Amino acid sequence: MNESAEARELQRLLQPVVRRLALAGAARWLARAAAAAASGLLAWALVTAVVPVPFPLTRMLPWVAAALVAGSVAAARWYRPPLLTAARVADRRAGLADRLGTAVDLLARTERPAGLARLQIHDALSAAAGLEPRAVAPIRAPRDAWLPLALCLALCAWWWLGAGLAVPGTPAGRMAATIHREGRALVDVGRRLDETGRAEHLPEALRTAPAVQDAGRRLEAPRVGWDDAMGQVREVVRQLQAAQDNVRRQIDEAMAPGRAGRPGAGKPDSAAARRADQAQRLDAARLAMEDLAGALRQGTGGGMSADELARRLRALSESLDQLGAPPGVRAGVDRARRAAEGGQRGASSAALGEALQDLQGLERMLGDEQALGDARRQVQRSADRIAHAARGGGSAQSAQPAGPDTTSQAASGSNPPTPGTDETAPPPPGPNQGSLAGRGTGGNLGAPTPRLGGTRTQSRLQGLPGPGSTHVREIVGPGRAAPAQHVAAPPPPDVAHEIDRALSQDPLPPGYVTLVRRYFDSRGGAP
Amino acid sequence: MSLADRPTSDLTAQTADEFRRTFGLVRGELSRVIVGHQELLDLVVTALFAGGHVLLEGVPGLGKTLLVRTLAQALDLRFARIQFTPDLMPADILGTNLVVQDDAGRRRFEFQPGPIFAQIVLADEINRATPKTQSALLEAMQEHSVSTAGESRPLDEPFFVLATQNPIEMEGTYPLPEAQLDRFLFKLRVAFPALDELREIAVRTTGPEGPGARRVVDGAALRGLQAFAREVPVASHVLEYAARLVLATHPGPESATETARRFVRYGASPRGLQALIRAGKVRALAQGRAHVAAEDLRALAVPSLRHRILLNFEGEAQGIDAERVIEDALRHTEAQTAPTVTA
Repeated sequence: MNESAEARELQRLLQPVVRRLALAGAARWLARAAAAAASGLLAWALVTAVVPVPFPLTRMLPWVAAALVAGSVAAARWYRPPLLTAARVADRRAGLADRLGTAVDLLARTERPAGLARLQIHDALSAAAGLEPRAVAPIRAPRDAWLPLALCLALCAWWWLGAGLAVPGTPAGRMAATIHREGRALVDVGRRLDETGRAEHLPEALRTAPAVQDAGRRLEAPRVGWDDAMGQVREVVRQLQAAQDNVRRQIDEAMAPGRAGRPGAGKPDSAAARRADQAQRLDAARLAMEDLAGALRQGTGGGMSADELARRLRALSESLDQLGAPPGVRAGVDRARRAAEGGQRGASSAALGEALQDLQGLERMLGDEQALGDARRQVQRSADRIAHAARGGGSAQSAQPAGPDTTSQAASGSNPPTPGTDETAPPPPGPNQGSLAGRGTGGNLGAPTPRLGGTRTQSRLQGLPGPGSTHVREIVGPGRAAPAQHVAAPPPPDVAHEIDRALSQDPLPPGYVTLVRRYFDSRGGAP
Repeated sequence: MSLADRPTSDLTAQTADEFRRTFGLVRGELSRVIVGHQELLDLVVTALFAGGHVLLEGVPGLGKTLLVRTLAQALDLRFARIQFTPDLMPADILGTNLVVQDDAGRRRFEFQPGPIFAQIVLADEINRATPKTQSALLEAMQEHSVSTAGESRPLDEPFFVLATQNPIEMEGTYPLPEAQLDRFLFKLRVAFPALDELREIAVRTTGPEGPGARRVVDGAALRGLQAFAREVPVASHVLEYAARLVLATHPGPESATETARRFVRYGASPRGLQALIRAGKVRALAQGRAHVAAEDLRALAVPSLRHRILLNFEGEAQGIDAERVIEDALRHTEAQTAPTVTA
């Protein structure tokens, strides 16, 4: 538009319309953007019924709302519709028969309008002077504002009624099945934790078990989403970890400072292994103390002299000292030793009983920690299964229910867990987990798998020929047999003995192998 | 705000007012004689001031000839009526060279002008003549000149052809070819009068003969006003509206309507666009505006375009008429060109 007086006047008259149209445009943008956002969220929500993807609606809503408000404010602040558009809108709504639009167009095209063009511009200025911006460009809700509202209502309805729904047979359906299975597994874990806590008087285990069971029951409920399930399982893991840390702190406080957990030579230095080793040694110490206490309670000292009693108590004290047992325990044993040396068996028995109680308290804490650790690892495995099901679409492998934790139990073999690994992570499969070949958990790779105790059955009778008649034939060709040249007969005793001796060795002695080969070579040369 | 409210010192405003007054006078004179047909009269006068020709279609006895005759009286222009018949020859319209003998006894050829050399020509029942004779009008209508015997002879301005045709008696007729139809600014349908109009016709035509139309404008003034009408400005968005409207009647482009795609063989020609704009300018001035508005184009779309749209076989078979195609195109164009404000 040129800079003539008519142009400036027309621009001034149309400015209110332009501003109001900008606001209306921003409102329309807001409605459309809200509709698009709500459509996207609704589509996402519907997709979660088929594909197990997280849908954090409550976390996303504030961001979406903030983006919409910011976009609207920016649009209202900086967007201005072209003057020609505003003039045309005013023409249509005020019934001006394209007067303003034509004037704006003429002023944009010609520097000095003349003739009918000038007449038209004057006519348009007169019409614009009587223009009512409120009537021409009313600010009201956009016509399509119902769409985002309807979509938001649909989204809310879905959130209340359909969240967590999964179509059976789809990955989301399999995911839901996995969550339910892991929920059942968590209930079992909680139940076992509760039973262990009651049986062994483990306070933290008893306190935490209901939370695990509750989480499991929540996962068993219908319409539990992936993110919700993960959140609940992680919360349970966090609670178990906190309880375990609490018990661990108590144990550390109870143990002698500076000695507890000090790795010894050739000892596993991971925390779990250290705890297990410590528990074993404390258990041994407890048994020794119980023996001594029993002997002292009998009054006669179990046939032990005072010196012998004092010597064993001294050894016990030194052992406890090396073990880093709680100071109370060690002090009690020392008191018992001194009393025994002084011939006061009753006082010695009483002091040893107190020390034994302290030690049993420590053992309970260790048991508490171990039970909590076991439960945490199982819950963590459930979380991993749910996460894996989400990544892999809930495959059949991930649908295996969580069983009792086998890795947490100390295996009877001589393969300790790999030192230096994170104790919270489940160990990889290895000799301690089943019959598979070890893949790194054992310190001695390829070592024989530890056997359970039992009597070994001989698979072969030694020194005896086979019972019954023997019929020997030689195969001379495909489908053709011939009578054997040598009649089967039991080997001579010296040969049988030699065979037995060779077969009992592993590997077979090379001489024996050579002997057998030579025998068959000699047979092969026969016609 | 009318143009009459503009300062009278402005010559353009005075001319615009003069245009509007003259338009109204001519329109009034026609109304004094013709009963009813108000829209038809508006459009005929619009075509006259736009310098275009009109094809009137209607059954006999509806006052078509009377309309043209009255118009000639009001304009003080030479009037000729040609009754088209199958044996009418081009020379009967254009004129021919005759051998004449002068006073000295010498014989020479002299051109004898035909009835086309009038200023208002009534081509009555134009579809009864053969295509050859119909084509004799092509040059006259488009170029306002006649070429005979190797010589081109200009026609007197203003030159205005009003042709009539009967839509019922089609036997023995020759439908106008597209090239001929395209040269008419408007094709107007003369509707049968309503009851009141019939009664008024009876009163006027069976009693004492009343005075005819008065002469309200002469040819020179009409030519000046025709030239003035061409100066009416058209905004670019209005031009785009007209172009899109014409394009929407074509089956080819993506902007075509569904009706056009299905039933139209050829859409309106560029002459249709010209007719829209020219007639729109006249209508704007007649309504006191110095610019063409989209509403002018909407009002003139059917008479300007209906005879330029050629339906295909399916359209003919299903009884689709050009009016429906144009109405669809108007709706389509309206939606396409509506101003939108989107942030």
